[in-house]
Amino acid sequence: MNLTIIRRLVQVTAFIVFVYGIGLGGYYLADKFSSSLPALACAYDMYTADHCALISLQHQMDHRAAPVLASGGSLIDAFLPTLITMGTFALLLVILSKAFCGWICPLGFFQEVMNIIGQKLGFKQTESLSRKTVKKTRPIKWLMVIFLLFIFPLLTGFGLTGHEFGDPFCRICPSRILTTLATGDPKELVVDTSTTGYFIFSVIATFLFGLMMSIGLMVRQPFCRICPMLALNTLFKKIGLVRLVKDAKPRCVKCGLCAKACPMDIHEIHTDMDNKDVIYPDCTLCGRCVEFCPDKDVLKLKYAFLPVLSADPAYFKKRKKAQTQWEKITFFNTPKKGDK
Amino acid sequence: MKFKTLIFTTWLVLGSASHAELLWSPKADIWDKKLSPTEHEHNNGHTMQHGRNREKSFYLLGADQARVNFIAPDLSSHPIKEQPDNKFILPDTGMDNYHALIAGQVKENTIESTLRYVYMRGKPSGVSPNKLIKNPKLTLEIIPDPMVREHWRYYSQNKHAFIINYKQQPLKDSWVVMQTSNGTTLDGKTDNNGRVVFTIPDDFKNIKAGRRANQPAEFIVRTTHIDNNTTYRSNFTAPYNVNPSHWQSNSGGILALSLGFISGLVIMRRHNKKQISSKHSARKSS
Repeated sequence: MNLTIIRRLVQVTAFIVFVYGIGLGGYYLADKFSSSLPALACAYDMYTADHCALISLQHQMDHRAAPVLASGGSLIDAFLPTLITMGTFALLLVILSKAFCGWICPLGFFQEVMNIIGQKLGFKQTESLSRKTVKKTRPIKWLMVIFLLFIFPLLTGFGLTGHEFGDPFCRICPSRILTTLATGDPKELVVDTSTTGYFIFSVIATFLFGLMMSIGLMVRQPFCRICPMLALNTLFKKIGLVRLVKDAKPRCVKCGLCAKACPMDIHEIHTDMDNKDVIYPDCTLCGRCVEFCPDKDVLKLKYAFLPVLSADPAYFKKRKKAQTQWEKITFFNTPKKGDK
Repeated sequence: MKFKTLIFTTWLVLGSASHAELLWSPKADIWDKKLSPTEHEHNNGHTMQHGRNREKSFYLLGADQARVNFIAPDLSSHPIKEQPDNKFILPDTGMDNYHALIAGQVKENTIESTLRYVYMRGKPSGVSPNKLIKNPKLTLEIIPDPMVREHWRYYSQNKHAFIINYKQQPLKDSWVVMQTSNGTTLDGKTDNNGRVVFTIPDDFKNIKAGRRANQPAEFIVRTTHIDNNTTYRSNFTAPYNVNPSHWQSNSGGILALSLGFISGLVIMRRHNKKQISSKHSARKSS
């Protein structure tokens, strides 16, 4: 069993737990989970077993930080809940590091499923986005963090923007539509006509969801590239126990299979010849680069000091063969016996 | 059968109206007129968005030497300050989650009780709300099945179930009435598991677009049981909101999603064309 299959099993389990959690742990499970694990599924999903940290952060800006600052309160009083949330977030990151995105996130998993569907339907796959496109896209997630998680909610708390700006990221987050639809509830797949702001946000959200679905048929992880969760994970990447280590060899210069395998198109994983720690801000620790590295021990996925997977020529051959076989299977064309 | 239903329902509705019914209410006159915008509270007794740290208080209507209890999620009891006009200020227990507000009184052969769940802010209680909600608190108890979760509210048009327990056993074939402060009355009979389901009426008048533009109303679920010449009356009160479907359109959502989907296909088609042409030009130049 290769790493990708193990990862898929973890993703399916995580999806079931976090999207349909109450079916497993009781109706009020979220009350307990959301107090202890603040970085998972969407709060708008009535069946979820947890609440995403991003909604907490936005509400803390709107309902806590801004009112306390406006009434002349101290900074510590204003931002203490935020620090606590970030603290528990950091704790989660120690255990999972950025692997949350690649192994657990329900929206990340959905995008992988969309890409598989696209490939099976015969859509032309974009193996890698150009460096120029990747470079242009990368700052968006940081802008999302700054404006949608902090600035707009703070302005709302000060009474300078409408209430719809109190949790602007949640207003446009595709996970909100995905997880509610997954439970058979269409209440988030709506256009809201109550105010101009809500109307605009709801149109953006539903449009973005459709856009993500269709682009996801041909490009790997389109929304992950701009997701603020990825940016927040990056803030704590140094403290995570999951490590991606590179021991560059001269052959790396010509190879580049690792960058080709990377769903986030991190070209640096190929070009960086100096750094040992190769967890880049966009990395989701999916481990595909390690799987598709043909040279012994060049790339390693580790949990603390324990090796999880090391690049290995034999593994690479098997994995490559399995991938080729898998890609040959489409809805319109199944491989025949003897196909290589 | 229908005639019996009519008589019983009338008795449950008028019986309660003929004397002051013991019940918790966020405002003294909510069952007479609408809530004032400044004093309203919503989402099951807690102000969800603004003034979340504001002191919470409730009026105990129809009280005549009633005994009051306030129970935290860990089942600890907390004394409540009583103000003039049967107003009760809820103490800060320091615990997050639902708290039970209970009152009971005995009048001749009648035992009356009322129950309301209030969401209080504080540190995580560390226990499931089930511990409180399913823990027997009254002889005749109306148990929401389930109580709406955090971030959720009772909305009009939605179905909600309640279980009627008498001496900790489900009471089957018992008549239950739901009445709203907007003037609607519904009735239902419990099944073998003591369960009854109501669709919260969509009875708001002059609905405006947006949840915040509409004040929540109150509903009361009540039932009566007679045992050994003693009449037990019990009720459960909670706020409910206008269903957002009044200003949210699913067809609009599907349309916007479709437009997004098509746009994605167009973008990718252009992207692929560009890639092919750049590959061609690269080959030519080499």
